[in-house]
Amino acid sequence: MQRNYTDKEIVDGIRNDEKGVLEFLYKENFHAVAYFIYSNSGSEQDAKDICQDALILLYEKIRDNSLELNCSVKTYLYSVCRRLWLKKLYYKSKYTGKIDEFEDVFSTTEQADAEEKEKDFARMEEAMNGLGEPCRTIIEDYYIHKLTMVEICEKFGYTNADNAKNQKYKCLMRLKKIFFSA
Amino acid sequence: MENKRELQDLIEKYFSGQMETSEQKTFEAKMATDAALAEEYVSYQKLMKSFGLYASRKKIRKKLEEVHTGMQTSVDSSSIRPAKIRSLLSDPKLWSAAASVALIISIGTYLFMNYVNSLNGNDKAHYRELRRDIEAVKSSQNKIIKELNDKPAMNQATFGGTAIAISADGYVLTSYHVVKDVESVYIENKKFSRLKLKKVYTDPRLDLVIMKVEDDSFKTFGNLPFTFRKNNLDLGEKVYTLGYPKQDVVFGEGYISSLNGYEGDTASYQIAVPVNPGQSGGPLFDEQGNLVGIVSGKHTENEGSAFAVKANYLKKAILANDSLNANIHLPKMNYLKNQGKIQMIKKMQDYVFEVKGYN
Repeated sequence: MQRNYTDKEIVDGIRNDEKGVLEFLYKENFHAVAYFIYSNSGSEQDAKDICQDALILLYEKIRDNSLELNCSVKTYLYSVCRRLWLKKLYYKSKYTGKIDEFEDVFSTTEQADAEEKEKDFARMEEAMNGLGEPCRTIIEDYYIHKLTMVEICEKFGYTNADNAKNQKYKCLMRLKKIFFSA
Repeated sequence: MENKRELQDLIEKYFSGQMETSEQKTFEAKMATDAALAEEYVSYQKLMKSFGLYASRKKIRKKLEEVHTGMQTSVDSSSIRPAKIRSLLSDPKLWSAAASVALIISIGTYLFMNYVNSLNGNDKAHYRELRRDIEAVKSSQNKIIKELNDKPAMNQATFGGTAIAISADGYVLTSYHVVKDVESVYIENKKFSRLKLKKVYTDPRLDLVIMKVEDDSFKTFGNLPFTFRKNNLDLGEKVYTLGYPKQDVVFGEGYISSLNGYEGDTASYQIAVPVNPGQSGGPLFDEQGNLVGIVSGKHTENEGSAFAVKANYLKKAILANDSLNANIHLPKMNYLKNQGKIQMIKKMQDYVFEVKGYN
């Protein structure tokens, strides 16, 4: 059976990378968010995306100690989702009301910060998508999955680790070039 | 190369804090004197910061995706009375019955679709590629000329189309079907006159070919004024084409009429722009002067619907082909944004070419 977390346990859990916290949050909040999004011309896919976006935002805020919580985590997440979705609708020009009415959760600096991050992420995502294979996998294996050069060498069938290293270097330089030129 | 790689290794080692104290000191001293190294280090730091963000978000998303799949949620219409639905589906007999019905239907559909396809014979029954058969147009003219002075016409192009420059150093994009069965390809326009091309990469699936100018006289196209559009277009957005259905450039204007192309092809748009043979490979622009697609063909039955391969597919194909060589420098800046239509077309013309293929 799923265990319950208090708000403090949630914040501490995310800070310490505890397993199961994000899962709990997602399960706990998805339905309410989904209901809001369905009733505002969204699909299940939209609900999923928004809910994940909101959880990522919460996660990052807790990790860099910038979260100022003056309501429950549940309320916070719900209002973030609501805001994200209205904003999305606004850009699709389906929602013509003011988003400002829902600004209660974010200050302007927080917004600017979030947008900056979003841009940063989008740029990197585009760079990674544009990297092509095998570079993308090599970079992910080395920097995210923390495979060693020997493991990468075996996985991709390079003749020796130095060859693999050279390839990784080229890939990184390519990533750098795409990233900074975007 | 070797040297640069070693420096990069040092930067990474320092960044990840794996250096011994003495080594660290040497490295810091080196950075203090070597501005280029310091700059390298700062840009690596920046790259890794963004990469860290990317990695962490991807990880969370993947995790949540698993959670979501595990939940098997569906709160929409079907969940209005979830209890009842569950009680029905928990009956194993019903399950097996449902499964066999589904199986029969899917096999049936498969066979039926095969049958339909075989009837059709050709999947692209109503699709026409817009390559210009110059021969056909010219032959009647030739007859007249021949009758006039009985001299054979000079070396004539067999196929024509349109092409667009995609990088300053001479890479050009056009439709695959325009050049698929020709031996030599030339492009021509007012500004650059006549240039010889060689094929670099072909993608018949996307109907795309990348070619490069190989002409001694050619140096550069100069800075291209447009970029590839990043996000997708919306239904009804205004678009423009430039192309060579005849020897002069022709402008066309219209809108996106469907987000998918011929028979639901997701890699292309359906556009309501008048196009004619010879316009294959021509660029499709939005109002800001971003390249949004390449005209590829039109519907033979529906008047006024043509198709264009989406720019992000083009870009993907270009970059994927270019994984390690990094030769194709796509344009980065859009200089046309606020220039008005007439000005935009004027500038754009210099980068749109008539393609001539010879057998």
